[in-house]
Amino acid sequence: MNNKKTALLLPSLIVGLVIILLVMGLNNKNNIKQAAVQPKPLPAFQLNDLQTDQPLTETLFTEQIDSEYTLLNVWASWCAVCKIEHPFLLKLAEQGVNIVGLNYRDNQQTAVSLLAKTGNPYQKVIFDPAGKLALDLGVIGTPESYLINKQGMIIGRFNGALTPEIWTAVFQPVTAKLTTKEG
Amino acid sequence: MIPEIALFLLILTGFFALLGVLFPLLATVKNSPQLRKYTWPLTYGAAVSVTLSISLLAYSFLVDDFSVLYIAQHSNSQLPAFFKIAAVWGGHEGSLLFWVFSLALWAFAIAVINRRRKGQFISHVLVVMNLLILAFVLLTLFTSNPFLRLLPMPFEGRDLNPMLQDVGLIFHPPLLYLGYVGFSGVFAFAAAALCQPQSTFPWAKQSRGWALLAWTFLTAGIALGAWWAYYELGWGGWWFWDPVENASLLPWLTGTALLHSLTASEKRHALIRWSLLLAVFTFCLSILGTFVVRSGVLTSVHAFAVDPTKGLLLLLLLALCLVVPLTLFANNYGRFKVGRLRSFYSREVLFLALNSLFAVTTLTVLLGTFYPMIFDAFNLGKISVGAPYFNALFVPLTLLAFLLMGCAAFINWGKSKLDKKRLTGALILSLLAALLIFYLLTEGTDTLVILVLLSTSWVIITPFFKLHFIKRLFKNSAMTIAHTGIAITAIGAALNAHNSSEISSKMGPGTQVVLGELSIEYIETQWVIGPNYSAEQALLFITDQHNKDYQLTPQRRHYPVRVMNMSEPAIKSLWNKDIYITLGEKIDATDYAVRIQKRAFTNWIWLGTVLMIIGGLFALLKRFPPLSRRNGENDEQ
Amino acid sequence: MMRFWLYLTLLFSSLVTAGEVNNTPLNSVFAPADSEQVKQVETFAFKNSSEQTRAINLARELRCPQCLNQNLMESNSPIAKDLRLIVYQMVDKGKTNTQIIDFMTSRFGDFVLYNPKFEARTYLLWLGPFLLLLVFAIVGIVVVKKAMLGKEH
Repeated sequence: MNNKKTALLLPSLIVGLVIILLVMGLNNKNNIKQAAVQPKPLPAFQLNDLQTDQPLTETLFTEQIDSEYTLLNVWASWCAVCKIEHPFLLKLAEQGVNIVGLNYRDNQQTAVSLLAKTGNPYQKVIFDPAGKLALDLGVIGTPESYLINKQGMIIGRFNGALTPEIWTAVFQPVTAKLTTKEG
Repeated sequence: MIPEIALFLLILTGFFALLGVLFPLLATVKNSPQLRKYTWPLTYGAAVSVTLSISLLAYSFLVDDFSVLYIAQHSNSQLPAFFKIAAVWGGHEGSLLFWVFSLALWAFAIAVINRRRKGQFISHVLVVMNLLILAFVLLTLFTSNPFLRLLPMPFEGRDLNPMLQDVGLIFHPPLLYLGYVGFSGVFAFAAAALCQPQSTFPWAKQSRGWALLAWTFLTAGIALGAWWAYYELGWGGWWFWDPVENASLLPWLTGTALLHSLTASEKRHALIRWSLLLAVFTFCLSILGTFVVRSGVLTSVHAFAVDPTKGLLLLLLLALCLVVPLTLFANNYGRFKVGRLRSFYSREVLFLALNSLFAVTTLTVLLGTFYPMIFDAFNLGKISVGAPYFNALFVPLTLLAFLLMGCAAFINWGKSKLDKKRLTGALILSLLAALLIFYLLTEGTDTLVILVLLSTSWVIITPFFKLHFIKRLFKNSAMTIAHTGIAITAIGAALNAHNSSEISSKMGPGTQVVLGELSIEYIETQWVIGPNYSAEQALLFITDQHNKDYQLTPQRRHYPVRVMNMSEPAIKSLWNKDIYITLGEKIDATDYAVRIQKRAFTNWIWLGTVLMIIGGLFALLKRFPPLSRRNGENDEQ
Repeated sequence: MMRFWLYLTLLFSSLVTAGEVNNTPLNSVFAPADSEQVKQVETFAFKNSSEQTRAINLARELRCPQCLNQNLMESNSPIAKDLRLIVYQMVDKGKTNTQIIDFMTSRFGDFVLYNPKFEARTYLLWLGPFLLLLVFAIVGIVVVKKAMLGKEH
């Protein structure tokens, strides 16, 4: 009877559905997934430059820097994973990408000497010892990177160490859109 | 050498289990009682073998054999001996071995209890048990081998995580595992019944015994976990709706429904299909729980190290344990002998309502626990589902359950007549009791507290209104004790949430602070050296309104090997509150941030769970007439 | 005795992973907490106890963005303490719960809310249980009625 056959298949279908959901959940954990970012204005701030102690504000990203976009990289000298992404940041800087650092909850001397020792990929570094700007940005943990356009809007975001793969997968699509718009 | 012997014993367990599957199946095919008899010694062999294996692992811990990777990761020569043994189940690999051990023990118990008439039905039950043992042996051997060597051998181990170095660790995991692995027994009975729906073997009756035992262990395990979290973690909470906690609650919910359903099945042949399904789902929820803890699919503070591949294998096992019994169920749906329903106003219908309510509650907790995962997998974003959600839904469902529980006193099997006098009496007395407790024990008004008090006093009072309650006191004692237990836990939980208060201040020698009727004075800071830690300890004197004096010493411990700092709270437990003090950060040379809490009625929460466990044990004891009488069961050939 | 501890620690530093405190963040080692902020949050003086209760209950409903499933009251990580202090300060200034929640979600997303919002994406979550209850009730009544009718001969 057809009813019987459907009844027999039903458990397998339902169980199959459950297992698929769980497997999706497992895979999800492994995938690099960054949902599209709703453009948000960069929060206003008033902090000092790490190396020169000069005051910096959000105009750093709109007026003082002359490029389509800037990469804002949140890091700290005590952050082990940040050391892993550091060489790639140096490479990006060499390729002409404007990177501004946000030094998060750190000791000023330690941070400055670390940059001197391992190389400085940043045009400027914002010193945020109390994590104020980080809080307004919604920083979850170091390292974290934001893409900010010339109008001072946050158009990209990634939580974790930057690698070439992630740069290609997450940030390049966004930067490409910017340059084509101008072109 | 010894770890290799232990590994060999584990492999041997697998072989015994494999044969324990083949022999009885062959015996059924060939209709040979001779072959069938071998199932028993094979099952015993598996149990003995794995017991020796895990004992050797424990021995290796005791002698500090750090050449074994698992031991090097979880132990340390300075660790006290009982923690070294507890470390056996403190990590992922060892706890899987414990799964095998628990499965084998339960199989052993089932075999022993049924050793007189080695019938076909029981042999099929043992087939299922041995299949499970084999599956977990393979899982352990191929993905989580605790006997792997570490070369070169380190001088010292990495130490057991200080948060786990507590008496709670010694008992919580074993009880928990024995509990939810124990539901494998009922699962096996159900699976055998699903294959042979016409069998006259009284599986419902025997299943109920196994379910009771597993349920009691699981209740004890969960309660101990909550208690341990309470006094170890430092913020005074005892249940966090964390995914791993929910994973243990889910089989408990269906297990409780199963207990009740089996009673109806045993006594009245009612709810047979419910009992079968609940048995299958309870054990499957246990496997789901293990999957959740080990695969990293849900974020939790409790989870073992994340490893998705282990997760996939567990999912496979889960799929098999669901698909096979459920398909058999669908196939044999009409063939189960089901009792007759005589009246709407009967305990059978009450239990149906109860089963349904528990099913909804289980599905709700399941929904809330997995919703963030599903949300994210479908790219809807990242959300969190936590205590506010669960409390909002779980509490009303619990209140409904209490309502039903109280009705049990007035509704009997078959057909009952509504006795208006008794019912009114019970309602009035419950109302009075609730008002009395409210007036005496609570401060302030809260609708939730009132509702909880009303429904729990209903639960506690109604058994006394049962017909001939004194004559039947012994007969109903287990139920009454267990129901009173959950009611008391509910009262404790509600008052704990509503009546607790706290204060945080900067305190140093000589500072005094007031919290309600308590006056707390900081006397001095002391220094303590423990076996594997050093600590700063605050000595505090507390005086209450009756001028009773208490002394509390919260600590901040420093564990050098793992370089961890831990705050060890100090607790003074009184009948109506706990004084709970945590020593926080050091603010300056002499002062600390001290957090003082009055946790209301915490002991009632634990008391309630103890009563539930006693109720379970009582119900078990009642089932043990002299063992010689146990084998009069009709057994099908 | 001291030397023993010193050697022990030095010798096994290779086995010790990055230093941990009570909870490990997702991808970094913790900075030493800012002691001024710690002092403020752990000894915050509320104007009255009902404000304290409101603040603490709200902090319990907010998730620490960096931790493995802990709320702002449970977690000892610096960011949790920072956010807890902000909650306390905003309550002290008279802000409503909605305003505080919006502050948090606009920075960290809905992820930090333990009490999921009631919106189209969460209808299933909030309404599902009621639907289930209804379904079970209706099916139960129908089944029982059928079983009763069947006995009428």
